Amino acid sequence: MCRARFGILNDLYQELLSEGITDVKFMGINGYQYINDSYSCMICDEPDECFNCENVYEIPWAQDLDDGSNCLDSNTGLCEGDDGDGDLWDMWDITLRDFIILDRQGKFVAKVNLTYTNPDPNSTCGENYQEIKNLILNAR
Amino acid sequence: MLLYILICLSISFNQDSRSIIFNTGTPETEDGYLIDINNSVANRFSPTSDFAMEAFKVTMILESESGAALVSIHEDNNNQPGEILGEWELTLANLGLREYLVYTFQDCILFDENQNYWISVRPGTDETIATWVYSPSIFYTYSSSSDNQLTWSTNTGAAGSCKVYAEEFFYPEISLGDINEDSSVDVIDIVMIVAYITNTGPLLDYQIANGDVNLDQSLDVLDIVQLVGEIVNTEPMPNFSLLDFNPNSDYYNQSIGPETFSNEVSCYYFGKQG
Repeated sequence: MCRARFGILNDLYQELLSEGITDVKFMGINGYQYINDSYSCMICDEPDECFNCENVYEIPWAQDLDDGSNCLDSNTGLCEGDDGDGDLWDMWDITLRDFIILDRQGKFVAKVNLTYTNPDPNSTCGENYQEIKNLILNAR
Repeated sequence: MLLYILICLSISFNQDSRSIIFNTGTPETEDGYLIDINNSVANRFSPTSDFAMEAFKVTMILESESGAALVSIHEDNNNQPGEILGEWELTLANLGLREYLVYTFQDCILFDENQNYWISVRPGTDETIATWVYSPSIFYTYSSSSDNQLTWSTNTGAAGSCKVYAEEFFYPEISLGDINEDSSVDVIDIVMIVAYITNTGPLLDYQIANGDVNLDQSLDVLDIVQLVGEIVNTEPMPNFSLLDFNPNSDYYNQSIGPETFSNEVSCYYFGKQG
């Protein structure tokens, strides 16, 4: 009951690796409005310092920005710098705790909001976790 | 350790607040239903979606020196508590009005959308005398039993104060053209349609309906043409590039994004640090 979504995704990533599935990559992106919050307990770089960290997370963790650097060239018009909103979240029309899966061509496959869908394998008898894993595997 | 448990419980409660599927509210009195060797009570509730039960809380007062309560989740049986789906024993404490929390997620109690269920309380020992405190509202459907749950009488009135927590099941959307229901419209779906049209592979009725992408009530070559067009013309998601600052990641200090993961499946979580 006391597990962070990002930690569960890190476990899922590790599980896929342990099954020999190395062509699936994960990445986490912090919302621009939370830029000033500490990320230490998000990536569990020092597990002993955070109550919800059992081990370090190996998934990349990046910060969305509002500098317009991702709104250029082919992304012109999809987002705008200095508008108070994160560029990527604007560009991809993101809601907090969205989880998005892209296929090998970078095409959209699925979006699951993990606020409303608890991916914890201990929750929903593990079915939500398995459904999300199936979505990823089917995208391969 | 105690601090860890308190913080964990606190976070659990916050998370649980998103998934309370039945809540009778905070009691306003210490009056309630008598729970003893003869008497037990159940509240009816109806989940609005398919859920798996996570936990429950009941608010009770132990009246005897010591005692225990059995809390059960029942199926509905003609508007009365029916078969028991799960049951948990609470050791009641002599501390006056108290809210008891039990986690149930490991028991896999499943609720179907819009079906009636019941949560009941009965004594755990013959000596137990307790009060299941009334809910503030008196518009609940409850059922009482005076023969240790052999027979029930259903009425409208106050419920026994409780909360039921659950998590909703996730069902991926099935889009038009997704014949094999793998949440992806791709060449496999086209192969299946071709097989159907050439009488070399049967499809079920719902698969035929899913394949009718031009909605002309027929699954034919026109659907294949449209589907191929959609697959070919779907653009990749807009690319981006952001610096990875997780020192434990393989990409630490690199600017990464979808193009970094070309020819791989890539997954992106949009979260909130802190």
